[in-house]
Amino acid sequence: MLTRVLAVAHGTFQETVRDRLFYFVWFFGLVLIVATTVLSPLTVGAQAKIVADVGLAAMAVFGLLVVLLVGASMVRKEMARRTLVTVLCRPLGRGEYLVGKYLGLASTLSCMVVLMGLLYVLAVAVTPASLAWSHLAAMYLTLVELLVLCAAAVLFSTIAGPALASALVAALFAIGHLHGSLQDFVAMSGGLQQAFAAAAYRVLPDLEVFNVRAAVVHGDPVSSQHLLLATVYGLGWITIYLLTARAVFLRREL
Amino acid sequence: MRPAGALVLCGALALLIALAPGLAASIHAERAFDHGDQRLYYPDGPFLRHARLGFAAPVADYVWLQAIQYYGGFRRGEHDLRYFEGLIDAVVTLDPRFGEAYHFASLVLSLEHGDHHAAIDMLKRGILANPDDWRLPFNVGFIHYVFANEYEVASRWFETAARLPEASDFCRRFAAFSRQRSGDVAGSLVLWEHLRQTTESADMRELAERMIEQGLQTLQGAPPGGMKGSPAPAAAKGVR
Repeated sequence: MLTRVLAVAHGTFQETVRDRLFYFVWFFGLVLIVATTVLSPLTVGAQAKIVADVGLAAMAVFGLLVVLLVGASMVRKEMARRTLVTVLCRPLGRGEYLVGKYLGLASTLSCMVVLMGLLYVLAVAVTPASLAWSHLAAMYLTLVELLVLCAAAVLFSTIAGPALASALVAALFAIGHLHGSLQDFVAMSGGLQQAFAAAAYRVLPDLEVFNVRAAVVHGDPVSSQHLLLATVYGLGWITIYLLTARAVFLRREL
Repeated sequence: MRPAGALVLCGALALLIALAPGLAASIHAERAFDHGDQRLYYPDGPFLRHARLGFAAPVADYVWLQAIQYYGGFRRGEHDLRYFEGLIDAVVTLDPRFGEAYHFASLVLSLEHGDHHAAIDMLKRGILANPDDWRLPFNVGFIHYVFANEYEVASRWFETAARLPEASDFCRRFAAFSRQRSGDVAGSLVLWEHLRQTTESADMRELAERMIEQGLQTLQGAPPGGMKGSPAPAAAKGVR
């Protein structure tokens, strides 16, 4: 089973390389160069902070773009091309196919984050800021967040077309980062609104768990316990999304 | 495509690209849009905090750049500073630990608005969010010392700053200096000199130089021995 899953993952990874997704890394480098050279004279003593902020945020944004552009259309594209039928004619389960697709895109995202991380380290090295281990922790947690969104994209890709799936992932990202506000809204509202908001609060992931970017820029450490719990939390959501995707995909007529 | 055709195409493209900035500038001039109006509707901090979507710090950086540009526009005489506090409020609401924003805002509020209380309030807000940053209580002392001539209060703030982690030695020197209630012009010269040397803002440096020049003129006009306490050069030497 593992061989079959890895074969699909390898194919998906190669497909993303062929689609020139790694160009995003060059764009990321360009953003960092602009942040360090063009914006620096305007920052009035906040150069190191702004380069670190822009670098870590750009990493998350480019990763999100890959999830939206590729992840959200991954399954549906193959259904439309009918290549999925050919693939599933082989001894490959639908669940294995989905996990393989997910792992392929997850590998792409991981490679991208590593490459962007190297460029980030170079950019921070030329600023007055000192690079701490906590910056690596922020990058790691950004990757975990992207992997959760990637699993959600696989789920949405099995039930909706590319545009709707992208919109759903974007909405999940937005609500995930508004989890605290959602809690406030539950406390403030009443009736049906409150019930709806409370349900949303319970069934959607709190993506702020993975956001330590601002804290590490100000020199705060990230504890190993936080990293461990956030990883477990992320893996939990990835499992939920992939199992739901499998359940939907098994009932789907191709 | 023939070489002549390619040449014509390149020429046309180059011409269009060359004309584009001029055209954009004339559209802006035609519209006669007042950028101040734009800032009237600038979202406030609490709204931005909810709308940040995990990117509070970079949004704060963006608003910070806007605030710097806005102050630059004021220095060029393009407008007044009526939206400055709103912009800084948005910055520090989004990123309460943005130390530079408190420092810069307090100086602008003191020097340009003459509102020392607002400047001190801004710094106290910074202290609540950054209790270990010695520069914030130091700047409160700075304002009490230079603008309000409240030497005793100033010395207490300098002492508070001196007790914080990584505090510079000159906190203690200024605490002692202000406790002596020495000549205020000489003392302010030291503080301005320190600001001139340490600030990364060209605007602030220029302002400090202006204040130093004014202070020196005052000192030259004062009777010999008229200034009490430590003379400016000795104190300045200590800072350097």
